[in-house]
Amino acid sequence: MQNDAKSESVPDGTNEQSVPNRRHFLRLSTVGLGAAAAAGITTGVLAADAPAGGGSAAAGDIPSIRLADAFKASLAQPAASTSFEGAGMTGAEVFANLCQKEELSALFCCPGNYTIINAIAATGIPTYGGRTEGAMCAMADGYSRATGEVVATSGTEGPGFTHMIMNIAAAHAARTPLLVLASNMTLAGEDRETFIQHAMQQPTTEGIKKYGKRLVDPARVHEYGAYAFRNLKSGVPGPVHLDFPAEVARARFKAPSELRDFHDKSQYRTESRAWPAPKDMDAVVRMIEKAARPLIVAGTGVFQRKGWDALRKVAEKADIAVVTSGPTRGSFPDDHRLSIAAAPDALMSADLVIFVGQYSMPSPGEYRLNPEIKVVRVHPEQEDMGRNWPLDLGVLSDERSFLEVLADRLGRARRDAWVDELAKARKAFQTQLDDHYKLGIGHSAKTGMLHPTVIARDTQNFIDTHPEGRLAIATGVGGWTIGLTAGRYLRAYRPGQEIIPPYQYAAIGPDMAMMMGVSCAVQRGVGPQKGYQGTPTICVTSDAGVAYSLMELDTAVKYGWPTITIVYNNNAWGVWPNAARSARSMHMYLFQENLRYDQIAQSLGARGDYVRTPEEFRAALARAYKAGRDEKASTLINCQAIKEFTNGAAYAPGISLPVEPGVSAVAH
Amino acid sequence: MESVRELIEDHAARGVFRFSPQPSDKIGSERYRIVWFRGQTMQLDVDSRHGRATLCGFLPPVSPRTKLDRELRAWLKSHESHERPAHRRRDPTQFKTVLRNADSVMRVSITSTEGNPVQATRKLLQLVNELYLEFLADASRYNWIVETFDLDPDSSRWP
Repeated sequence: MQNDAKSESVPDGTNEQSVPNRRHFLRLSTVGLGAAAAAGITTGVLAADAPAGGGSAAAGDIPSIRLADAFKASLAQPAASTSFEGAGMTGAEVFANLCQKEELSALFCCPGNYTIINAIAATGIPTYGGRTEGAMCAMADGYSRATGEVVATSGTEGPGFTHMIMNIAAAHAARTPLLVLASNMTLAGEDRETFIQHAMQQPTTEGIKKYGKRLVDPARVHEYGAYAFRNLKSGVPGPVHLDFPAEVARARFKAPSELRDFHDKSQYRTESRAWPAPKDMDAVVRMIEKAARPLIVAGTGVFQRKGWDALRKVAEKADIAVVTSGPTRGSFPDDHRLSIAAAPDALMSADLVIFVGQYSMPSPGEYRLNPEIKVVRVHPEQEDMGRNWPLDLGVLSDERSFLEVLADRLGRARRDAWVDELAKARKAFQTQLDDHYKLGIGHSAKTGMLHPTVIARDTQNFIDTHPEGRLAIATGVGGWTIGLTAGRYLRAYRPGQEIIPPYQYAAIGPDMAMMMGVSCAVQRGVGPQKGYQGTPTICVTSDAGVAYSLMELDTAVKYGWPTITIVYNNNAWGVWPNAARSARSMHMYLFQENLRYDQIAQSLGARGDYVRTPEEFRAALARAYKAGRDEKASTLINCQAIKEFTNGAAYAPGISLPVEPGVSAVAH
Repeated sequence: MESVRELIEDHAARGVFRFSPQPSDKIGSERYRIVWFRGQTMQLDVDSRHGRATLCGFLPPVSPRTKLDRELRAWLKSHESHERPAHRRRDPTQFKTVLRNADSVMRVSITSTEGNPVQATRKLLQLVNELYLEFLADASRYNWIVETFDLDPDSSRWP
C-alpha cells in the first residue's frame, strides 16, 4: 500500500536510480511522499515541495533533510598521530593509542567523554555517533555479535552512562567483548556534588560486567587499558567498564617513563590458549564412538573463536548432529544434512551431547534432551565446569583448538539411521511451519491485517530465493509475538548471518539498534561479514521494541547503513494477554492504534512503507532491498496487524514457544 | 543388569530430579519420593514382581474428560506409532501403558510384558521427561502452565 500522503506529481524515482550513490539518495529524499509512492519508494520527507503534518509552512520554506558538509569533511580527514614529543600525549591519547594497537574494531557513542572519544576517533579507529547512548551501546553489541570483534561504546558521565545500562546487561548475558567507556567528572570533585553529573559508576555495573575500574591514577592509564584488553581478549569475554575522571583523561605525559607498566600487548597479555589434554581427547573419542546419536551444541565460544571450519570437519567426519546456541547463529548451516537446529523432534533421541563454548549454561530440563544423555562440556575456563548441568566429562580447552584436535583424532564413521532421523525431523518441522503459514494467510485474508507467520515466512522466502544468494542477507529478530514466530522461520547458513537480539537477557528494544551495528559490520566487511558489503540487513521487530531505537534511523541514514526494519505493528505490547483477566489493567498494555512508524522513518530521512496484505509486504520488501542495495537507503516497513493474533484460541497457532536448543532459542 | 535404585540414582546424578527412597508396604515393591518439574513432589512405585512402574502426581490436578486430559491421552497413544524411531517408540507388545485420572489426580503406569521393572521404569521416566519437555512446552499449554504454577509469564521456562 502506498503512503497516503498528498503531493503533486513528481519524477519517477525508480528511473533515476541509475546513479547508485549516497548523494543521489539524499536528493531523492527531498522529492516528497507522492513521488516516492509513485515510484514505489517512499523516501524521507519534510521537503520543500511536500509539507508534512499539515503545517502551514509555504512551499519552499522548509529545507530538505541533508547531511552537513562538515559531517562529510570530518570523515574525510586523515588520522592524526600523537607522540610524547613536544606537547606530549594526554591520558586519553595514551589510551586511544593502546586501543588502536589492540585493533579495536569500532566505537559507537554519543558525545560526552569528549577527550576519550575524540582521541579514539583521531587514531583512525572507525567511530560512529548517534542519538542515544543506550542504542549506540546496542549497536556496538550487535556489531560484535556479527563479527566476534572487540568493540567499544561510550557516553557521558551520569546520564549518558546510565542510559546504557540495559544494553550493557544484554551484552553481558551474551558475553560480548564490549569496552564500555564513560567520563566521570573529576577526582577532586568527588562527594561534593559539584555540578554536574557525577555518579559512582562501577557499582552500577556490578553483576553485568567482566571487569571494571574507575581510573584514579593518571600514570596507570596504560596499565588499566591493558587490564581491559586482557579481559576482553582472554577466556570467556564480557563487558569491561572503565570510567575516566578528567584528571586521568587530560593528564599530559612527555615520556613513556611517566607511565606505569607501559608495555607492549605481547608483554601484558598472551595469545596462548588452553589445549585439550590427550587423556581427555581419548575419552571424548571413545564416547563419540560409543554413541549412536551424538550431538554437538556449538555455543558462543565456537563463533567467537572462529571455530566453524573445524566444527564442520568434526561433524562430517563422524556424522555428528550439530545445533548452534548463543547470540549469533550460522556457525553451522541450518540446511546441512547434519543440522538439528530446525529438527526439534530429533533432539530427544541424542544419546551424547558435547557442549562446546556454551557460555550461558542451561540446566537439565531447559534443553529438550533425553534424561540419560551423556554430557561432555568443553570450556576455556575450569571454574565454570559443572555449573548447572552435571557432567560426564569436562574438557578444559579453547574451543577451536578442541575442534581441530578432535577433527584429527576422530575416525570416520557413518550413522545413516541418525542422519535419516534428522532429515525426517527437519521435514516434520517444516511441514508444521508450512501449515502455520497457511493459517496465517487465512487470518490475513479474513482480517485484512498481516499475520506474523506471513511476515516471518515471506521474509525468509525472500532471502532463500534472492538472486544474490541466500548467504548475503544478515538478519536479527526481536519482539514477543513476532519474535517468537519469526525465530522459527528465519535461517542462518553462514557464520554471523543471524543474531539473536533478545538472547538470554530478553531485552525488548535493542533489536533495531543491534541490527544497525550489524549493518555497519556488513558494509565494512568485517570478519565473517567479508564478501557481503553493500547488502542490506533485515531486522524483524515489534512496535513495542522499535520505540527504543527508532531515532537511530538518523544514524543509519547518516552513515549509509542500509537497514530494513520490519515492524509488526499490533497496537500493543505483545504480553497484553496478561491483562485480559485483570481489572483496570489493559490500558497499560495498549498503544494508540494504527500508529505510523513508517512516517516517523520518513521524517528521519529513511524510507517508509505501510502494508496490510501479504502481497503488499512482499512488494515492499523487494523495494526496500533494491533501495538499500542501490542507494544505501534504510527502510522501515510498517506491517499493520491486530493484537488478537497473539491469541491462539481465536487465531491458531497463536504464539509458539521456542524449542531449545534450536532455531528459535533465546534463553541459552 | 542395573537395579531400579541405580537407575533412579543415575537420573538424580544427572540433575533430572531429586529423590528419596520411601518405605513400601508391599513385598517386592520399591517406593521413591521424587521432586521434578517445577518442584512438584510425586511418588514412584515399582512393582518388581509384575515389572510395573507407576508415577502418581506427575501433574497438578487435571479434571477428567477435559481437553487437556484428552490431549494427554492422545499424546501417550501417539508414542506407540510406528512412525516414531524405534528407540523412541513405546511398543505396546512390550510395554503396556495406563493413564488414570481419579479425582483429578493423574497416575501413569508402564508394565513391561517381560516383567522387567528396570525397563518399565526407564520407559516411564523417558515418557514423563518428554511430557514435560514436549507436550507441556506446546504453546497451547502455555497459559495453563502459567496459571497452574502461578508463574511470571516472562520467565515461565523450566526450571
